[in-house]
Amino acid sequence: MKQRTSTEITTQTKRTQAGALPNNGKVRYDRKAESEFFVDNSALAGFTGERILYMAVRELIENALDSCEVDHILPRISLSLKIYDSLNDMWIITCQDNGVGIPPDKVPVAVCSFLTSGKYVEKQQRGLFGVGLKMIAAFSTKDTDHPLKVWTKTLEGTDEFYFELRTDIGTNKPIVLSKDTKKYGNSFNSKSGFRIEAMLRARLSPITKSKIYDYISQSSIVNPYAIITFTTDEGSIVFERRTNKMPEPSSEVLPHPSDMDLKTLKRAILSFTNQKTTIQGILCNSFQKMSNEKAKEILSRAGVELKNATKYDEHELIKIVNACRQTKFQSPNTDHLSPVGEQILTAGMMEEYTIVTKRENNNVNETPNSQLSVRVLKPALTAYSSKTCIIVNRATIVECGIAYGGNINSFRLYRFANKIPLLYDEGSDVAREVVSEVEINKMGITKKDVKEQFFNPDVKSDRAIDLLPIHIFFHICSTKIPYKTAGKESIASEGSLKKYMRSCLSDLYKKVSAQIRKEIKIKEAENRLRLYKHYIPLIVDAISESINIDAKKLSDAFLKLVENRVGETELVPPDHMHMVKTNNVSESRQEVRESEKNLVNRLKLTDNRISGLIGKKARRVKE
Amino acid sequence: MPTRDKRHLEVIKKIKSVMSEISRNVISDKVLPVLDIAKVGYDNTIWSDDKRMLTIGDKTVQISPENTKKIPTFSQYIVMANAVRKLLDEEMESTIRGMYYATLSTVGDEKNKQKFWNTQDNSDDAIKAVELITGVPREEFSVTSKPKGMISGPITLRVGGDLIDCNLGSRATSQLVPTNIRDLEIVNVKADFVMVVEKDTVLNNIRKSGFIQKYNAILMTGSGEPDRATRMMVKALNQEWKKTVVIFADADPWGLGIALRYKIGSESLSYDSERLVTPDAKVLGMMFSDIYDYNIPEVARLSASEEDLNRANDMKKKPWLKDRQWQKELNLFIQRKEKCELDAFFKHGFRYLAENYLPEKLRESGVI
Repeated sequence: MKQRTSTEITTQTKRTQAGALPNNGKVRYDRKAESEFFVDNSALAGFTGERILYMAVRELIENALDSCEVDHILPRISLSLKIYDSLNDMWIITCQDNGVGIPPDKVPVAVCSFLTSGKYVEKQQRGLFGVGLKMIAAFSTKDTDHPLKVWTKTLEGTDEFYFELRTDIGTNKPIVLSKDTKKYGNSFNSKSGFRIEAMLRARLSPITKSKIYDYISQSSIVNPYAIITFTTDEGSIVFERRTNKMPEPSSEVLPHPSDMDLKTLKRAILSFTNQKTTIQGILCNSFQKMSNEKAKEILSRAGVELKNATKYDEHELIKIVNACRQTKFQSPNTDHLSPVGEQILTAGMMEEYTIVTKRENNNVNETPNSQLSVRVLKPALTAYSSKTCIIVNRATIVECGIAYGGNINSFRLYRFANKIPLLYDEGSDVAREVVSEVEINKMGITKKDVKEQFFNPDVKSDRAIDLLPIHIFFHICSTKIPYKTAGKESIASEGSLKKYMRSCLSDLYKKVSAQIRKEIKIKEAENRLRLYKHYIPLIVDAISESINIDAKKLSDAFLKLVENRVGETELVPPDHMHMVKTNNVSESRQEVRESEKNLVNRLKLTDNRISGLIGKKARRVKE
Repeated sequence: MPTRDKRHLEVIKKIKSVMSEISRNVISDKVLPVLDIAKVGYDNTIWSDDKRMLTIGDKTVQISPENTKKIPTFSQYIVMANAVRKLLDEEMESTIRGMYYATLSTVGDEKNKQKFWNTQDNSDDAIKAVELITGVPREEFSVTSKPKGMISGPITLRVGGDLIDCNLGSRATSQLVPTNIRDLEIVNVKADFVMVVEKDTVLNNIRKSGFIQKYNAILMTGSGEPDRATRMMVKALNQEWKKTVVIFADADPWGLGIALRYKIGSESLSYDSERLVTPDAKVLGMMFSDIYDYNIPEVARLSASEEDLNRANDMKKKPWLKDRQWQKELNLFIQRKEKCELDAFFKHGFRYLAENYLPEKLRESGVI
């Protein structure tokens, strides 16, 4: 049995006593506190078994990023995950940011009380539900005897506040164990900030661990303007800031009338209770794209008489809702959405950080000592495109990016929803379908080319795209992402979402086609030269064993010859290749020498042509 | 130790001259070398009405490092040529599998490591290429395969210095047909005719019955696809020793194919037909009509597969099966869709094949 805190034991005891009246034929109706409900149904928030630490990391990073972006602060986040007591699977997780902080009077409820959030508004944010942070608090309370420690400093105040908190799970109320004010405290090297330290009991399986690494790496791709420091028992790594540009913060918008229902309408009327506003005025002021004329039209279509707005009963209101649903409005505006944007996503793609664990195994008898480090992938080219569309009455922005070549050496699909990486269920995600459906010949290359130049025995898939050294990024922004499951890990193909994603990807394929063809040509030449370098020694050995000849001289002559040849392949169109007769080459020595120079330049290009290609990178498509 | 085999010296000389030419191309002429080799396969195999066998056409393939895909092939051929040269220099002999092992290696660096040979098939192909480059069959440069052909009957062979009498009185065993044909000589043949059967199991049954003694015959089998030594032995017995050769194989397109290897040759060895093929051999059975003429019970018949039928339809169009009798047989097969193994005669009794079926067929065609 897990260790329980005193608070919970009391709750538990009460419940047991209440439940100790069995079989008397009466059904008891109890009300459960939100906190208790979420702890009992932790799967609803994704906090299950092995995923607890992953979810905690996710919630903390998302909160930190949101709290920086709300005030356009370039984020600096440090996250640390360290084992405290390995026998009992106790972990200490700490996260600090330089965001706006939480006002001290709001800290206890904001941290501990479920369904309390500053994010219940119509705009795109990472967290929405006011559950994640509370889940960490509740689990910490449930499984450990350590209080949750919180430091906060807001932009308005100069003081720093320190709290030790626990959650009363039975009542959804915070318990403040201690509170301390530090005048002009400087735990933060910033004007404001928030720091939380929690102890959690959880297992960290290798899969969860790699998901946590993936999560942080991928977050850094869409947030290249954030410095993220990540510390574990295996070491500490830093994801550097690659751009100072931050996305425009999203702003709250009024709901779109196509999406109206009885609840939104009643709330709108309620908010005007003490003002003498007509129903027409309420409609205009509470919904976007609603002109005075439009409102009139709706009211006449609904066939309701004009009277004091508070006097309408539900039967009349539903007529108004129905009338709205039958009326055509302008498309919803997208001010409430915050796409990553071409410049920022490109910065993320150009230097793609990935966590790697180095296994240092000097001594066989020692357990391998893993050491964290960061590998930065720099592609040879990137491209970006985006589309704005309406998916089931909600404005949605689809962004797509491609990073190709360089030291990227395999295919990978990255999926993001509202800047959150999606790591599970890739197979059932609409993005996977889109990638399968868009033919790679849009890039001007054939399956055959790809299979020849990128043959990889480890890739079992028959799809050519899986062989290319290409990373494809999809980002969907919407206030309502059509997730497939409650776990929020894959996106369903709802409405025409797939169509827009497909056209985004097709656009990108077309944009990069010339460069990809060039890349493949270079790859072909490299492959060919490598093949020669591998086989020539065998040929030279065989010949020099059989006849009396200077092996070095033969080898040098051979290599020089093939380097010329590979140079020609680059310059001469393939059709001419077959026409090259071996016996008339000597006449065109001069040309050959020229092409040799060209090849050498071309092959060297692989290293420094990146800069050249960025300039040519295709521009964002404006819809 | 006898003096160096002249044929071997010829092969070594030829290999060295190819190597020299390659080096000259690369160093002096500064061009990539090309090996111009006769093309082997169905699209360069021609039926010769004159010779009554499959012969090789005049198409060639250019194996050159010029072509990216041919880089490995080119080096495989050169490496194999060098290995053959070494083998002969050391006055050793080897099987084709031995050559595969002798040349086994990996290519490339740590990142792109590949096997030099994917399978032994690649190395077998390279040996074929050396045959085509030197114009000498591999048996003559001491590369042989594992013997699998068998021979029994009144014939005496000399292998190296040893005399081998294949008329093994006990009826209990057969002699393997040696594959090192450079060391092989037929000393004496007392038999009246040569009977080739498809499989060793059938040969054992016939030998045990006393067929050899009763009909003064030589029994041979290639144990399925005949190796070159077996084919050459059959040819020598027919052409040099003037013995009638009759062939019995299973009544299915596969068996007929094997019988035809002896009689007309094969696409993959069409360049060597003159040495391997016995055009005068008679394919006597087992005919598709024999299934019904000899009342093979239904349980012992097998139903034809789609592949069998395709093959039979193909065969019908071949010039060497154009005569009326073969067309009739193939039509019968295509119509009835039934095939049968020689072993099916055992259903009529263990001696039926050797004492009834074979003698009747041989009598029909006037061999006995």
